[in-house]
Formats: sequence, structure tokens, C-alpha cells
Amino acid sequence: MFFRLSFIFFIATAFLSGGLLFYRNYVFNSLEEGKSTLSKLEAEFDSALISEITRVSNSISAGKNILDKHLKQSDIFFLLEENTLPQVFYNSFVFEHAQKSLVLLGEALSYSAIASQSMTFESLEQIQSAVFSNLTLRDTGRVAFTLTLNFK
Amino acid sequence: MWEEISILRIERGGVYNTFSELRSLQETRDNLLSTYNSISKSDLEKLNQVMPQGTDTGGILVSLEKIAQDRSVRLRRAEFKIDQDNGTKAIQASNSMFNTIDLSFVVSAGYESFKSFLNALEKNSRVIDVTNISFSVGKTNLYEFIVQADAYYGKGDKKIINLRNINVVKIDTSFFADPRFIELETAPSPSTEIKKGRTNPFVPI
Repeated sequence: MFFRLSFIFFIATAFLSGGLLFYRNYVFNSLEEGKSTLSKLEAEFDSALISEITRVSNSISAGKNILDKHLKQSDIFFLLEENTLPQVFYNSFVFEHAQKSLVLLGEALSYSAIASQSMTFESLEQIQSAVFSNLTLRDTGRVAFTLTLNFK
Repeated sequence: MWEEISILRIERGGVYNTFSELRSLQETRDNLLSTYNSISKSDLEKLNQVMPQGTDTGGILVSLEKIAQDRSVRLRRAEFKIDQDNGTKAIQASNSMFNTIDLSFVVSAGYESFKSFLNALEKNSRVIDVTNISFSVGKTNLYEFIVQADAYYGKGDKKIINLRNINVVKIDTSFFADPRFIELETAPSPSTEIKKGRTNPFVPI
């Protein structure tokens, strides 16, 4: 009886071990097959192409950013042309974007022309302040001035 | 042996997951590629001028000279400062998507010519932002305009180390329909036919 039971146990163990070995090999082979397919798939990703696509994507984002803040300072000259009185002229121009300021040296035919000029600039929506300083009457009868325009 | 099988199964599960992830990334890549291919060659060239990958100061010089020459403006001096290590701009640059070149130049021109020059510069696809302008009126109608400006270039190729990152890549082609982009005029390119070689490079031309 004992011998029979031992034999059955032995056979069962042998079958189980064989099955496990078979299953282990199956899992191992499918893993190797998966790894091989994965390598092929990874190789299909052309790194040069992906770099180019990424570069274009980054360039578009940067380009948008640059165009959003693109400066058009030529508008300042149009603003001066449209708003300078016929009795006023400038002989020096210093514009600084960071300070949002334009300093102009110039001359006017009279003090009242300067007052009118000041009112004209201050009425513009782009101008925060228009400050005339260093008013000096010249021998020519013209009034020299420094005008500081601060933009909004 | 069962323990070994368990480890192999876990490893195989990981490979299958990566496999399906790669399939999905492949689809993303194909979509990106299709979008990329829909961009015209001229738009791509213009984009490369808006955001060159190198400093391309030669390109800036060619643009300045061409725009000046076409308007009887004389480019008398030009200087570039490329400084990524110091100053506020370097800090700004590290947070932004591009680097900045400080550019200063002096042009001699009449008032109308300078305005035309400035206007053309503002429409040039090699984007130049004029920040400071100064000039004084002299005895003639030609003034010396001292100009400071910023130009830009890309931060270089960022390699995608992890393929999963292509999921966050977007190609926004609407940029090419933006009127501000369309309005930009293609910058003149440096001549590619360069004749090289001089017997004595110190003899004046």
C-alpha cells in the first residue's frame, strides 16, 4: 500500500515538474519574442525625425512668443508727425523702450505754442505724461525746450 | 522554479505594456509626421528665419545691409553682444524658449529713408526688435541714427531622451496662418557662392 502511494506521489510530482518546466520555457520564449518585437518597434522611431518635429514644435512656440512682443517703433514717428504743431520743431531724439520714454530737444515759436503742444500730447491715449522742461528764450526769439514723453 | 516563472511573467507583462505603449506612441508620431508634412517648404524656411537654431549674426548683417542699401541708408557700424552668462537678459533667456542677441548699429540716413528702413526692419522675418533710437539734427539733412535692438535664436536641439515625451509635442500649424507671420517678408540669405583665397590677405582691396 505504502509503495503504491509513494509511486503515485512520485508520478504526480514528475508530471507537475515537467509541466512547470514546460510552462517556464513557454513564458521565457514569449518574453524573448516580446523583447525582440519591442527592439524592432523602438528602431522604427527615427530619432532624427523626432528631433526635427520637436525642433519645429519649439520654434513655433518661440515664434509665437516673439511675435506677441514684437516692437514696432516706427509708430512713434507717425505719432510725432501727426501731433506736432507747425510752430514746433525738434533737433534731438532719444527713445528708450525699457523706460517707455522719449526725450526730445526742440524749439517753439512761443511759450503759448509749447502750452498748446503739451495739451496736444497729453490728450493722446498712448501718452502717460508730456513734461516740458529747460524752457529758455533764445536770441532768435524762439523758446528752446526739453520734452519728455512717457508712454503708457 | 515557480519563483523564477513568476519573475519571468512579471517581466513579460512589462514588455507587453511597453509594447502597447509604443504602439500608441507610434500613432502619435504618425499624426505629428502627417502635420509636419502638411507645412509648406516656404513656411518652414520662414520659420527658420524667425527662430534660427544658431546666432546667425551673418544673416542679421545681410538683412541690415540689404534693407539699408535698398533705401539709400548707410550702415556705418554694427555690433553684436551674445552674453548668456550675465545680466537680466540671461536670466530671462533661461526661462524663455529662445536666446537674445544684443545688437547695436549706426546708420546714416535722411528722415524719410530711416522711417522706411525701420518699417522694413519691422517686417523682416529675421525678427529684430528695436529698443532704443537716438539721433540729433545736424547741418545737413542726413542724420546719424544710433539704434539698439534685440534679435533672437533658438536654444538648440533638445533631444527627446524619453520617447514618451512625444506625447506632449504639438505642432500648431495655425501659426502659419497668423497675419503677423504672413506679413513678415523673407529675409535675404547670405550668398552661397563664396569665392575663397587671396595671395596676400593684407593688401587693401
